[in-house]
Amino acid sequence: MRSAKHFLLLLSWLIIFLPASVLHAGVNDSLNQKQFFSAAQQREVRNYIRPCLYMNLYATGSRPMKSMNSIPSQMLTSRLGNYKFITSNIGFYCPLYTHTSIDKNDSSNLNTFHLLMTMNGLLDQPRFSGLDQQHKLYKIGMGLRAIYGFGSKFILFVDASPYVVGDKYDKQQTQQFKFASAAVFNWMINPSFSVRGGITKTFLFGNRNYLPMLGFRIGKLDSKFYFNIQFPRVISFNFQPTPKFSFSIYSKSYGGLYNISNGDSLYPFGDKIIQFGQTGLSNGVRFDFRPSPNFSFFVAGGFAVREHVWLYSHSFNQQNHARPIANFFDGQPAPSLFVNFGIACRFGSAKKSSGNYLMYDIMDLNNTMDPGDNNSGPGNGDIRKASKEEEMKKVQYKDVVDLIDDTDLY
Amino acid sequence: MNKILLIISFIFAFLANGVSAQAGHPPKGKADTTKNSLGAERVQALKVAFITKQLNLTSDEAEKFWPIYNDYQDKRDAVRKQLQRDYRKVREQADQLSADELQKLADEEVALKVQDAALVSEMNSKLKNILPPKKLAQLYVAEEDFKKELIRILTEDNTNPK
Repeated sequence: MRSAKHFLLLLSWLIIFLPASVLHAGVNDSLNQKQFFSAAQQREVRNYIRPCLYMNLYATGSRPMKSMNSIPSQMLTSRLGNYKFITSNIGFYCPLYTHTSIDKNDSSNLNTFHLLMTMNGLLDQPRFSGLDQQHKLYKIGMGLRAIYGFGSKFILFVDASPYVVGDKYDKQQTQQFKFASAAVFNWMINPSFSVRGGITKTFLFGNRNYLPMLGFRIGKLDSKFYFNIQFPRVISFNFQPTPKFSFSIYSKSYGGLYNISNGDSLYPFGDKIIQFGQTGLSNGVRFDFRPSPNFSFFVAGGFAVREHVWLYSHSFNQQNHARPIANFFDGQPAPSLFVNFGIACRFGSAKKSSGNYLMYDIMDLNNTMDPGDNNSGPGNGDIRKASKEEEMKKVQYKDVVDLIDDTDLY
Repeated sequence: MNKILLIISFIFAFLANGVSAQAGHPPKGKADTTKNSLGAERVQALKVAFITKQLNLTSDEAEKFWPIYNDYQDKRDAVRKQLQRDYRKVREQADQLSADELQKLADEEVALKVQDAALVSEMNSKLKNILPPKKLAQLYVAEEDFKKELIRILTEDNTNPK
């Protein structure tokens, strides 16, 4: 776990400084001769998606569990006691390559291709009041995703998220490689309505599942209201009264599948490691604040319901590589209140995307399908609410002082 | 671990604000049109609203128009940024530069203005396939009107600093 900490810290620093220095290289150039005598030196920003680093923390209250399984399972429920869980994660995505091209069949269409690197680190702490030593589960991953927006209506999204899970309790035994992925096709029928379909390999439901992804959105992403259903991840009704503030009523799934040490003999048949799966639904309200284009944060709260805690025998499921794995314990914690808050920082510059609704859909897909299969993304802080012409009256000198050139005045 | 994450979060917050401040306040005389300050972003959003209303774009037209227009603006911003750098160079170092260097700078400024015009021409060609002639002609008027409207609002508002 110590090396995991070091890795996370190193990653964080790399993440912070690389984009800041690389992406601002074109902004604060020194006045050297070579640069100034070449008209070809103009640096045009290529990426539409800005590098983003986000963190969040999610916690539930402590509550009793019940088990519907056999008598041994109910005995284990008594032994485990009350359950609460706290999870914190840090994620990052950064465009590696962006290409904009003109559609061969229709020169009025721009196609965009985005290749992004993703990183994620998560610490999941299920806390059972009956255990002397708690398990601290971690997940560290780095992946790639490709997004292709073509024509003025279609997006193809492919994400590959390999990661390592483990238990701090016994890191040597419990570390294991896992792989989550998703492929989604998005059809923006018009700016107010888009549909999505695809398939995902996910561990979000505390097991290994291959699930269809189906969803639709009603309402423009930059309008005051929009409604979003993206099965199996989120259902949300979003309000954006101002560009700096929005809130949503939502229901989203969370969870994961981890290896944990059997050092405390939760499974009585001598396995050194077992698997721990958890899942649930968070139903709540989320308030998003966006003080600047580079920084946003949110606070959310509500009820965590329909939770399950599963334990699986590793040896029993070892030969089972494709199907959902079979549990020996199914605990159902009572509903609880939860709190969730997080921050997101976006760095560098990006190409303009105002009024480009296909690009908004690309950004929404990228933010909804967060790195690492955790369903805790940074939110749509990169999509600004549309302005009205009447708001021009509120323009201040400081808003345009850098934009109007003296040559604009004659 | 939570403490580490907390510390990192504060660092991120400060850095993000630092980047924002850096982008939002370029040195005097150096216009940075690709910046992400709230002011620039807001004006861009207002421009979208203004042009959409003036041109009365249909949904189909808007879907194709904005990607092309934004692409043009990005390219034009890069040209204008280079032009501003050249202006700054002349303002600050005209006395130190040789005649040859000054001539090269002047040539480059003209080349950039020609390039600026070429970008409008390129965009115009692409937009011909999307907008009817009336709306295309109105686009250039709308751009000019937007600029004038901004200047009018700013000069009429006495509460704003000059």
